[in-house]
Amino acid sequence: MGGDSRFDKPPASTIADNPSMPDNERDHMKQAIAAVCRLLCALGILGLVVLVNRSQSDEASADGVRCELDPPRDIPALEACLARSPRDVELVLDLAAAYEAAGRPAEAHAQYVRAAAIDPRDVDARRRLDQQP
Amino acid sequence: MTGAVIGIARGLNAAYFVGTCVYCLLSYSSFAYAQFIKPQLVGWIPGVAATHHQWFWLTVLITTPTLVPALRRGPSAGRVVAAIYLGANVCLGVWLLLNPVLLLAGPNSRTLVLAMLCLVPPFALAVVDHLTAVRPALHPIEPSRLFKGAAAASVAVWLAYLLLIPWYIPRTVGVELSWAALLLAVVVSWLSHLMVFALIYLIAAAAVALAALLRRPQAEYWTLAALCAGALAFVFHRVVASALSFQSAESWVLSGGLSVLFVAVWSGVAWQQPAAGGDAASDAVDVWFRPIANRLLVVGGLILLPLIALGLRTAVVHFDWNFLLQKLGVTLVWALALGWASLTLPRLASIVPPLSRRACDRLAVAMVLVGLAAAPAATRVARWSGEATLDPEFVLDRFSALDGSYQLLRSLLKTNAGADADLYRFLKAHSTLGRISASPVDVNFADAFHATATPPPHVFLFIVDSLRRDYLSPYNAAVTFTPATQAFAAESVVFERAFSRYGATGLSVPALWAGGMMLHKQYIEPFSPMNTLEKLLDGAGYRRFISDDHLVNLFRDTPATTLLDQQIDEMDHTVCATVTELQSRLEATTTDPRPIFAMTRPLQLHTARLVRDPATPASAYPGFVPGYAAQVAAMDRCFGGFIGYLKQTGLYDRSVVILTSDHGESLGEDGRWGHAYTLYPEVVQIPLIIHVPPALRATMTAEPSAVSLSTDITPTLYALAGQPPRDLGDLYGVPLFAASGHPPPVRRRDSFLLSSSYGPVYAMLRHNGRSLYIADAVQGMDLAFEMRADGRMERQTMTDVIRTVNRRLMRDHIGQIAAEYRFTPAP
Repeated sequence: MGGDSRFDKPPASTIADNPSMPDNERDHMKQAIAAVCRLLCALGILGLVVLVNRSQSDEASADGVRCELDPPRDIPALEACLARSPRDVELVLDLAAAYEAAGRPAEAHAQYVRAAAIDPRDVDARRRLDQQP
Repeated sequence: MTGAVIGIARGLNAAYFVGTCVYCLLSYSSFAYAQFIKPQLVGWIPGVAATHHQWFWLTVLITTPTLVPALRRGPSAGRVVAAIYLGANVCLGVWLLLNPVLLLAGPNSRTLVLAMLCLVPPFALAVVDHLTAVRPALHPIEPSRLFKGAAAASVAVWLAYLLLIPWYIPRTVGVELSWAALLLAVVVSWLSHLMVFALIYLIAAAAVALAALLRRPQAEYWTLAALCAGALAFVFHRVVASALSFQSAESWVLSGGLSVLFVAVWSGVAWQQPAAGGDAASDAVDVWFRPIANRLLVVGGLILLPLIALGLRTAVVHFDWNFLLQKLGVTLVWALALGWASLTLPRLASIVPPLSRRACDRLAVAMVLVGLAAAPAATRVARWSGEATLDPEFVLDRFSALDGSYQLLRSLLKTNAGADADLYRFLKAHSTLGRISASPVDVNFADAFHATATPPPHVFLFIVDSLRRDYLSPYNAAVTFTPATQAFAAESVVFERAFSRYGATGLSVPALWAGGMMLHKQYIEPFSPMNTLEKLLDGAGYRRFISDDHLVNLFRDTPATTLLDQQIDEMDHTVCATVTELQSRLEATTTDPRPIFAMTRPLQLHTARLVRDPATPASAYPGFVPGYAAQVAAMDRCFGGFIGYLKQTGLYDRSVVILTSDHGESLGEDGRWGHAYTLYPEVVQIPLIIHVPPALRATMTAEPSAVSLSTDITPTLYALAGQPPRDLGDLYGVPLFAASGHPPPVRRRDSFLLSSSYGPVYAMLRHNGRSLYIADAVQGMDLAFEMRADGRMERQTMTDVIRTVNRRLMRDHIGQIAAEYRFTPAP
């Protein structure tokens, strides 16, 4: 079998704090400790790689979720929601309706135009624009 | 007996048993059994399964000559085991002739056991190979060899796939990357490859160092073998088992069994190879890679690695299962690169500087740390540049479509934690419920069918499998090859925002019949209580003409039903053949006063069918996938012919004719082909064109630009038959036509759950069909899309709000389905 010291004749060395142990045993012990440490380090690095590549998303703010699931009716809150989600046609149409209800037709019209720009095929936006003078 | 011959013989032997094992696993998987095995979708598989026990003798014939030298000259123990192996094989062959077990395969635990038992014979042969071979003399592995091999392999693999990028860019739809984005991705890919291969080195070196403590020459070898088995099991578990929806425990057992088999067979072949150059200075690495150690192969292989990678991808790309086979191909390229790089470097000792073990370790740790920093650094670069097109979320995803190795690397490294992991567990617990028992639910859109002043209209329902909306001229002005559909659309309502509730046929078509979503199981039987379409046909007294496919069994067999296409394999169902038969059937029964219902699901556009078609020149359909476009054109011609027939016979003005599909199809978007278990926009967007008899149309209205779903079709038929359906809630469809003066409301605030048929992948469709959120528990990722003004959907940056809102709705909808079917997932 091959001529390597690791397999046949471990090189002699000493461990100072344990003079009673035979040289080859001490050397073997050192090698074992080093190998175990090495494996632990490798596993630690693997763990680090897993940890870094782990995806964990954050929960959205309550305001953002409310804009989507329970949209407000008042104009300032709708405007705040639209600042968060400027391409939300439903919010744009809600804001337009709120402007109309508040007697602000020009601003309502602008919102319908905005909705139609985002979604040219949106039936409600088109219908309201057709109805307006 | 040369090593190469033994290698080929063992490969064929293993292929037979692994093929049998895969067949059993597909049969065990309830959806794969219901969709592929039982309906015999792949023509040659039933024949092979039927003669499987006879093919076994071919493996005996191939294997026996390779064992003759061992029987004559091997060590005595080897001779005995070889003789026992051959004797056992003969007994097994005789037993198989009397008990052709593969014919009994089905979705039950017996089949799973059979799958595992299939691994025993090739494993036994590997044991024989080890016992009959001359035990290789081994020297210890030189400390820096593993590092140099891993580092060189990482560069070889990275370069191989980098060189292919110019080839893929013009052939991959939707991957528009600026030069800066491409450069960024290439650098991230390089550093990531270095990181992964450095990690492989660190683990292998540490394990080998531990093995050396045993002071046995073989310990290093078997440690390498065990590491290979572990790595392979990890890849199988991550790439294969999850894509086939195996549960975690099953997945690990199967992945472990298969990987141990591969390693054992490989090792057996390695031991049977003659030692190169007398093997005076072999170490475990040399012996392990003996099967690929031919000098010409080593040099040629490394140089031709890009072509090998290209060939492996090209061979499977069009019928792959969402990159499953491509990722396995990349795994093979990695293994070959590791082998060839490790074999080459010792021969280049004069060029490659010597490195101490400590230096190797330090370099490897540095490579890992740099690799870890790559993705965050890319994010910073994107922010610093202020260039939106450099957003790593998009750049790296799109780059994955071009670089298969980077794609595999990302999918192996990605893990989920916290709310993400929790969601994906929830989705898995509610999906592919093959082996749980569930009772049918009675679904009724109408309590009773009342008499109507006019007879119900005839109904002709064309559900063209895999038909994309953008290959029809009513949806895409660039299409010039569907004139008949264009003419039909001009007389019909074209629903612009139609979506399938389910990706893929398995649940999409039954859901269309049910008019709503169902428990994620194939299938709850009897299906009749949920089959609201069948209830309409019964109630209104329709006579039926239905194409005979694997789903038709979900309809009751009644005298009112005539099956079409009975003599044609399901994969060969075409519009042309079906309408020809239907016309002759209708002509033979013109005096029958009952209303007609005809339904077919032609498969001429299905990927599995298209790969058999002769190539169509690209110049025939510029801007489109030629083979697919040619079949759409063929379908259009026959569909137009049938519409002409209906007009000629006067049936057209008394008929509802629906042209739709059960799902769309990926045709190269981001490298994807087919539909598998995905819910990408091109898969869930479908055409939906409905012709209503003019007299009826005059009394009804529809809103074509509002969102519509495949599950709306059956309630729509109720409405058109004069049986207004009741509103059954979020999970069910609504009629798309309403009485004039009462237009159907735009469901702009409603949210709709979409689902894959074959895996834990779900989507939420919201904002009148403009926004699509996909949560993919197979790949552990989520994506958001938004509809552009031209109707196409475009990837959108994911935000916490999109994620939180859609996940909340998704859980709510899935919970509703579970409650409807009284299903409680296992904790």
